Amino acid sequence: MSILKSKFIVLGFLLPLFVYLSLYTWNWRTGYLDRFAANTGLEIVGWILAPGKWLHAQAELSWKRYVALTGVREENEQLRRELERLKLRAMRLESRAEEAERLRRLLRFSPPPDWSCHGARIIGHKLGPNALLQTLLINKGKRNRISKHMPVLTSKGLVGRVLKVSPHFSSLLLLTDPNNHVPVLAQETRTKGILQGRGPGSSLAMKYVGQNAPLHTGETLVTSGMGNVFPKGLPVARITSIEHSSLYLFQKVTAEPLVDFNYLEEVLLLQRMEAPPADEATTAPEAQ
Amino acid sequence: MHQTLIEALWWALYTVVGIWLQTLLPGIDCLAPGLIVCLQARRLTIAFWLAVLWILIQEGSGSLAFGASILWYAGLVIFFYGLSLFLTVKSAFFGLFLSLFAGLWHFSIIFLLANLQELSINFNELLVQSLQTIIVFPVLWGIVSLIYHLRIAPGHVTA
Repeated sequence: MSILKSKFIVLGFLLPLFVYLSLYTWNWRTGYLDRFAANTGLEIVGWILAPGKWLHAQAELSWKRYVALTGVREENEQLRRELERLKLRAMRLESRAEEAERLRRLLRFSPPPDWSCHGARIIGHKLGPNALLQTLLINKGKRNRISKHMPVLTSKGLVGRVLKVSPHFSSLLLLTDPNNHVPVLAQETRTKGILQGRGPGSSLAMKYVGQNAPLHTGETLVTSGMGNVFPKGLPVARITSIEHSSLYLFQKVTAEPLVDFNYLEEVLLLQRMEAPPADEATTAPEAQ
Repeated sequence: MHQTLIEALWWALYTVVGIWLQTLLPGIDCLAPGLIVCLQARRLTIAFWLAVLWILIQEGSGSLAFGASILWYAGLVIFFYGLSLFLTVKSAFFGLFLSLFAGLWHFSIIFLLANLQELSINFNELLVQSLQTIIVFPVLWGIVSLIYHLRIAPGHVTA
């Protein structure tokens, strides 16, 4: 009886636990299962959400059309038709103009030297029970040369970085997430620090700023280029308050992001341009 | 064959709707109640394949290292069978205990794995998500169970 019981414990509990911990540790070292889940699960989610977003946009347009048309019912039939046509056209043009304006603002952004830009649309945000971090889903993936840790921004400022990539979709880690640390420096006083998110709707915290470091409210924080993830000089946030306390070694600095994350529709992704291989660069002039 | 096709279509539709629901309710698993319905109807093969698919979906769209969804679904399955030894599946207490467990289990897994992966977590947000799970889980379970047993597999035995 006791042998049966111990067999049951081994097979029913210890063996699955051992298998699970082995898988977890192996994945922690290799990241293989994470990549597999991104290539399958994230792809499925992306393909399910992308058509829905399109349908949503179409439904919104139809609703706007309907609302706009209710006001001209009493008009003459011919004039009404004409008005409908013109209104629909105006609405389409207005929508396109708004989109064009947004895209123009994005295009006006000139990437830093040695970096190139990719545009992407946002198709979803954090979803599922494992979505612990503040993330967004975009419609670009490995096939579009998107890779992990690529900086993400709009014409207003930094949004975050790429967290996970599948063939056609990627998820972004937002600046507001507490796990996102961005090395920054103040644009005027050149004081350095690390900017950390404090969750959605909360301000950002600039850490490790010494008590005597010069800094003032309203100053813009830009990326410092340290850490080799973000290029130097991208606007990130604006300082909202500075507190000095004799109890702490550092100043307590809070800042607000320059980007409003609630109204994001399109983003830009920065890709580091690959430098030509060293031997190619050196042998080319010789060959000439 | 006809019945299998209907079930396959039903679960595909359920997965699509579930994923859309998850965009409206961040942090909540809207697919897990379907797994419980499968177990209730003793559709173990379907339950297994659905669990595999849903684990990949949740892990792929989530932001933790692989493993949280395996624990989440395994815990639900074990608790379902454990609880069914003492209570009938159709009873209100069964639903109440399972929902409470789901909320508590969600909190424990995320808290444990986030700490293991050295991630900062928003404690209040996690607490709210767990409470939402306790409320949403039985509602979804009831709706899915009703549709499944009335429309999709009306003659099927309930565990």
